[in-house]
Amino acid sequence: MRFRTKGKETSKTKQSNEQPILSNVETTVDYIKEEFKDSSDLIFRKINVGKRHAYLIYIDGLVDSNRIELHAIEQLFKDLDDQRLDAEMIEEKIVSINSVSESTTLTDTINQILDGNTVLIVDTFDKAIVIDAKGATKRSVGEPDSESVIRGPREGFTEAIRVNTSLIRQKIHSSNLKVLSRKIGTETKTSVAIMYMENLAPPELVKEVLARLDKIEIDGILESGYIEELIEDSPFSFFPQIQNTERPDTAAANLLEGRVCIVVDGTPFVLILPVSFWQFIQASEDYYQRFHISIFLRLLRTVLLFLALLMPAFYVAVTTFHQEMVPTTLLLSIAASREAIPFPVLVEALIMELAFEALREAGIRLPKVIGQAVSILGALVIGQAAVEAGIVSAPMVIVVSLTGIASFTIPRFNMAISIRLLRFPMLILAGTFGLFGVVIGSIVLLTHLCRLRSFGVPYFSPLSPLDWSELKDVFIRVPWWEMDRRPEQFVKENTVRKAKSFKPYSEKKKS
Amino acid sequence: MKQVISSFQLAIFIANLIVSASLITLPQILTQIANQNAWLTPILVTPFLLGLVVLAVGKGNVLQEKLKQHSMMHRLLKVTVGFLLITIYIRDLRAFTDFTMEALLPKTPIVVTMLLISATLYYICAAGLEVISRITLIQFIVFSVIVLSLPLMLTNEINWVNYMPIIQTNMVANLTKSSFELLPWVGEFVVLIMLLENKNCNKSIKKMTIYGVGFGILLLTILVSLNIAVLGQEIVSKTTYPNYRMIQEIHLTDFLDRLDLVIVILWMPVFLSKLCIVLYLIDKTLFQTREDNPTSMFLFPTILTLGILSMALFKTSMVHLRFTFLTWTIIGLVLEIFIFLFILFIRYLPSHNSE
Repeated sequence: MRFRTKGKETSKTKQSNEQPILSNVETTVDYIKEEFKDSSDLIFRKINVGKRHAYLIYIDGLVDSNRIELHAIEQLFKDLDDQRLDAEMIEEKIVSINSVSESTTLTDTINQILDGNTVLIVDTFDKAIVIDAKGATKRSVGEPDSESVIRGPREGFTEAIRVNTSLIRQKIHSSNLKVLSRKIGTETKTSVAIMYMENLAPPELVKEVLARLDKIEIDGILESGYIEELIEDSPFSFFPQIQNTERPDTAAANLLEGRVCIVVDGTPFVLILPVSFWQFIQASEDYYQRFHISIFLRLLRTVLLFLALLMPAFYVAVTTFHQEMVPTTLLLSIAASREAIPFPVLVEALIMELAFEALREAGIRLPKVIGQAVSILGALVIGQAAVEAGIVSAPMVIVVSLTGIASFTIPRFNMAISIRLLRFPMLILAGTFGLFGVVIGSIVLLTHLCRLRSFGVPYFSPLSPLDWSELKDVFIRVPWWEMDRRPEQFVKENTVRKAKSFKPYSEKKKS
Repeated sequence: MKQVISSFQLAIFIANLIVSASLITLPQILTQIANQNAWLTPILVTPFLLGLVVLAVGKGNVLQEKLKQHSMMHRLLKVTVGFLLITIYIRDLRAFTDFTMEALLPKTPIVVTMLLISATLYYICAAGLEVISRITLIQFIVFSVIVLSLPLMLTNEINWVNYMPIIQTNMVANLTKSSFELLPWVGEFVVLIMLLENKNCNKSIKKMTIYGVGFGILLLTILVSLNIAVLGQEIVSKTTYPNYRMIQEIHLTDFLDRLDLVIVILWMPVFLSKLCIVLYLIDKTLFQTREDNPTSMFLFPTILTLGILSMALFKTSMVHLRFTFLTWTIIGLVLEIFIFLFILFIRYLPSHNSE
């Protein structure tokens, strides 16, 4: 599926841009029928309002029929004074739905219909009444599949933008929380909401985000990933420069640290920016559990991140070039297991890694009922069979499995897949130049991370540039009473989060 | 946009320049001259260096302002610094490739190693001074932790008898000669004078320079002391890579007795950072980069040319070692003296802008 038409407008759209609503209702209806030719889901309900002909126009499936019947049609069927009947009277005194507005142009009317609103066009009126009675089938709020926790809120975003913004509003009851709206995509006209805290987010950041969003020229936005790729600083980098989350609490926490959230209609993944590398190894649960376990898990994740990236490369380098590094007993064991293997260690590692990736990809596509069982059995059977057939050695299976497990501990999936991809060039460097190649690869990677920026914020901060005071929430998570300041790389002015002297224990009584 | 660095980053650069290259082969020549008292050499050199820093740099803010001017003296300073940087780069690159061949890749052609290093250095340098300073900081901190923990790791291997006799008849003469040998190596940090205009403010230049020099000398002293304590002056004076030989003696448990290559791969990025800053300064000093462009278009040809020179000028590693210990000592010392004098002229003479 490809959507890459940029900035093309149809001649039809151009013509009707400024055309006002015609006072003859039949002409207006004919125009709309022509516009929606061959669309059988568009309903035209003819009614009489007072003594005038009127039409209720809506798309079947997008509206709540009960609300239209009870709060619009039934009210309109009452005996109305035709002399004084006008649009304001219908809006203010007749239709009892909570959100009613007006539309004066045909284009806007058509857009309102496409948005799921119901439009009332009355003969002799020069405007259409837009009744907000949306009722499309929506997924209910449930626990997010990609970010489940043991402790913490179990609600997740859904595909409806208004549900998502309301979930964040339920977390932050502050008038400083602002929601700006945009529509992106010439055909999909996807609603996008930009949320930020006015007293925390730098104004220039919000301005930059809006500028980048406004520059997007595409015909369809179906997922927030489209926007992510279109607005990030370095789209060719392996590393994600924008975070995404399904959790409202994560989004709210990031808003409270001065970041901006982009909510996209049609997807439960909300974008958070700017972001630093270390955020991708933080889980929301780190802030809910006791800080002792959070520190342990953070350190474990950091170590496992390096293992996920470097373990296969290290194994290949050591067994190919630097066998003297391995203790003698272990070396003999590895040598014995590799005796019958016809491939060099590098080829063996590549075979196993590719098989593992294929298994992982297949596991996603299989139906959930059988997928898990098949992937586990496949891993066990294929691994065992490969070892017994003499294609790969047992230590290699262990190394690849441990690497896979290590990569699963990375909380953010988009970072995990970046690490997965980078493992391969590191393997090739290790197989060609040994530990020297691993060093070169690591330095290049570190340089890349140090030069990357996410909306102006250095990607590797607060480690680089080094800020000792900000490290308290990177490799460890200090207790909440110590986190009295917001991250200074995101919030420039209002950095105080809480009173500095607050401690959780009471003062000792003076004797 | 002008690239800026902080005081702390400047101090780390200084310490890196002092220790990362010196630790490869320098302890050998120091021990050959001063025997078991070689560990005193860095300590003796320190007050002299600090005195030169105070005299030349002062508080730093005056020098920082004066360096922004243009005169014949400034041009002479730049050319001298550039020449010193080129010799440092060629010397260090060859030392690094020789060591890599010895320790890690004995069968890989040296030219391939040189090209790989050059490509990596180009990628890092092209990113600009701020990125170089950030990666240097991270890597040097890790390296410093390793060096500071070496005495603990080698506790079982230290033999205090190796320091005996502490006082000898020709001790003063030997220490003077070894100080003469060491001085141009630790005086390399004078090239960082060209970074003063990139420093984010004029405060604490003197203080951070002193800290950087002090910390670099401390690390070097620890390494030289451990070399003698663990290996003894007989082995150190005859081993080409005494520190590498020393870390092979680490024996924490039966399982953790081959940490030498782990330490080597933690040291290598630090050394490459040094090469990066030297290259960056060559490019900045000789090719006058614009503020909005971190590097010039001559960077890549420069890296390639210097890499080829490092291979072509020294037929074997022995020729390189002889150059390093004998020839470069004189070249480095003379150039550093000239640089020091130019700095004094620029700092103390009345300012004039001859453009």
